[in-house]
Amino acid sequence: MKQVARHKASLIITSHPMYLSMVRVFLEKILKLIDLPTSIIEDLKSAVDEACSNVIKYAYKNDYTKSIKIEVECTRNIVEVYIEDRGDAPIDKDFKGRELSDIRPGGLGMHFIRKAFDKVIFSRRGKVNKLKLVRRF
Amino acid sequence: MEIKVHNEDKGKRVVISGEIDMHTSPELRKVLLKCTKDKVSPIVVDLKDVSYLDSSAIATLVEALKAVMTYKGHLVLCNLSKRVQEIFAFAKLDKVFQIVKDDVKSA
Repeated sequence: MKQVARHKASLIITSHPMYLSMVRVFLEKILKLIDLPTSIIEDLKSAVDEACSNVIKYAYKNDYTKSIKIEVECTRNIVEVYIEDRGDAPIDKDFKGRELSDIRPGGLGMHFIRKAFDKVIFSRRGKVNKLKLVRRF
Repeated sequence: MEIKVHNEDKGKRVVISGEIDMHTSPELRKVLLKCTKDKVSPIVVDLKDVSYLDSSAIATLVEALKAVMTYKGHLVLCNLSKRVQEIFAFAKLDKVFQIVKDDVKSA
């Protein structure tokens, strides 16, 4: 049986927005290893960027001194991203976003996340929030 | 991200290059709010060299558009890359903003 190349890498950043560009570069580098089309890489990159922004805004309430762990596992068939933080548990509205027809600033991040990933699963164990994002091909 | 503001015959052109995200969008917000406070019209936001744009960037542009509308001014987006156009279409904002290829006069 032919072995499917599996890639796994993780990155820990400080919860400061200046590190979001580093997250995007990290995603791009690992996703290029599985030869995804650029448009899909861009969608996945945006989604993970938005998820980390949400951690900074909602879980850490803009405390820029905490940490966020991003772990990616991928093959040509599936991309799984795990985002961990030790901030406050999110409340329901943090996961909903605004109606797209409601034209006002904010509330778009979750739409970008749901556009890019098939599954968005949140869990909290002890003081750790974990967001699992899955995209199958 | 870098922002340059040019005075035009009418209004101002705000030329942005680089990535607009949660880290850099507050700087863009400051520039656009200064324009709207001064009731500048049109404000042409040139996105030709923007390589990345997130939801905070869109929120900043929506906020500026709403401010411009209070004094019946115009805010125009121009030179959007294919990717940025797709993002605006996905967010259903492609019909809300005036988007042009590259023409200040259309405002």
